[in-house]
Amino acid sequence: MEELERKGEDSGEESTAAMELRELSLSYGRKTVLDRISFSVPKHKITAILGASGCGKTTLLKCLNGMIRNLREARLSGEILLNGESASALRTEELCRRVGLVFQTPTPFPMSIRKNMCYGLRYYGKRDRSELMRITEEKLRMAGLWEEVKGELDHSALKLSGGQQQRLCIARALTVEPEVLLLDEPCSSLDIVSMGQIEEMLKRCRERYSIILVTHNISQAKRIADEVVFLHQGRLLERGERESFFAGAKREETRAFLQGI
Amino acid sequence: MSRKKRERGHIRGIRSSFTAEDGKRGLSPLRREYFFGLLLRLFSALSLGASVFSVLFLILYILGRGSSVISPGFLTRAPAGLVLGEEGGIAPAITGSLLFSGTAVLLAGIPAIAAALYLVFFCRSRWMRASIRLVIQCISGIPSIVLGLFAYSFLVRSLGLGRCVLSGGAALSIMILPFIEMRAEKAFLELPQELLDASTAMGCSPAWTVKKMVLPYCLGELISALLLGGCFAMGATAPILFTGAVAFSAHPKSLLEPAMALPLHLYLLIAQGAGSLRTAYGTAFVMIAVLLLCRLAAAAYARYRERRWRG
Repeated sequence: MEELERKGEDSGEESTAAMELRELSLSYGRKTVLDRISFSVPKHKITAILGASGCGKTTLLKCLNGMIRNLREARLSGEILLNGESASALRTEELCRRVGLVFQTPTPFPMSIRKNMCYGLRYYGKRDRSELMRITEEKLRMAGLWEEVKGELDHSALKLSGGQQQRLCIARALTVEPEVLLLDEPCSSLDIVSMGQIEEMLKRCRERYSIILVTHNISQAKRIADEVVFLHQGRLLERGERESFFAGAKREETRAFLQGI
Repeated sequence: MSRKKRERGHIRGIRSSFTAEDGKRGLSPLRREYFFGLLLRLFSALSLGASVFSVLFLILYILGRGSSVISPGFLTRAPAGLVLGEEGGIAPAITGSLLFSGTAVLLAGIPAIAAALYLVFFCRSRWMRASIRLVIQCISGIPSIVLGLFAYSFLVRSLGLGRCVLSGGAALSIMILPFIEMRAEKAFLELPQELLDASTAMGCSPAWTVKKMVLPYCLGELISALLLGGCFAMGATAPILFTGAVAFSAHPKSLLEPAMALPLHLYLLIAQGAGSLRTAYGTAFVMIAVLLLCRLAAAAYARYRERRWRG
């Protein structure tokens, strides 16, 4: 009976939660990095993960897109549901495709902008040039980069500025149509203008993708997040919608973090 | 400096700069460090000067003595004369050497680069990686004459290939395999991990990452490793001494024929005595010129590839 009820809950949540974490724990040998983390990521919203450096944010992202499986010493337990589907049943490559990840520092591949954009598409078997071009344009437009680079698609991506490189990386991650997009402090190495552009872009992307944004920049979370999750030393301390989270943090540690202590 | 800091310096085993004893010895610590730095720089400059001078002297001496022999005929004719090589040219030795090196690069390059790829991108067992590295290091320690002996007994006698370019090239390839592998591995390891992660994060397989990113990105380094491996092979005599190089032959028509080689020809010219010493310098000139050109080409190509993306 209980099982049935739980199943009912699952299917009920399927429509709203893009991703759900249940008691997710991770340890390297004896060191516990993530400790029983449970929360759900609503669809078509930006969920910000806040926390001090070293609290496990980046590790959490790597768990979510499966890259942690490539580390042999990492021990993962708990469950991740991707649109109601258990992630552990998916192959790592499949999980990586469905959950895109953009890193802290821009990582343009050492090739032309066009080839950067087609890199993943070609891997998934898209060969038709007009189709490739259409997707390239669509994603670059979404990243707000199209107008800036449309004349120089065959130039090296390394010649772009830092902010442009990061937007290119986000656009590139979107080419393989992930369901959830993870961003690991995407603006930490960028200036304010680039940061603004990326935030605008994320707000636009929200309509099509569910986004998880790791940041230690509180004002950024205030500007664009819909939901906020606060991690502290590998544990989830508090979560809530943006207004309620920032208005009334319940835990001592959360308040200390928000006040910059 | 506060006492606390000084104590910490002692704990870490770092000599604190300002202690009472130093003052009593007359030379202030700052000055001592200054003199030490000066000595270090002087020593480095002298060592650098000495090595640059000796290499330059060697090259210029050989180029100087050999340049008088160099002529179009020397480069295009076969050796001639009563004492062979005293007159005529060294053309068959040049083609022979290029063939030996080319064969060796082909035979060694493919397994060397494949091994490096496997070690860096595919091998997940630490034990496996360590043992492969150990084997490769052992190969690099084998004396080249032993490789020659091995190739002679195995390829020339047991397999019946006979003394030919292929046997010699195979012996050389064992010699240059670790050289190419180590350089290729270094090139792969220099690739930023974030790039590889970014490719993995899109769900791309390691094989795709290697094919579409690693190999194109490292192509310059790889080509230069192959060229340098070829240079290394071209200078070696011992592996081909019993396996393929002969004192005189025409241009080989296939890899199953023996050929002349520059280093062996040089050795014979010197061994024959004073009469052929003139052409020996000419041969050395050609060898050094070919090797220098290859190295320059390797460096230039690696730079060109890198520039293309750095902009």
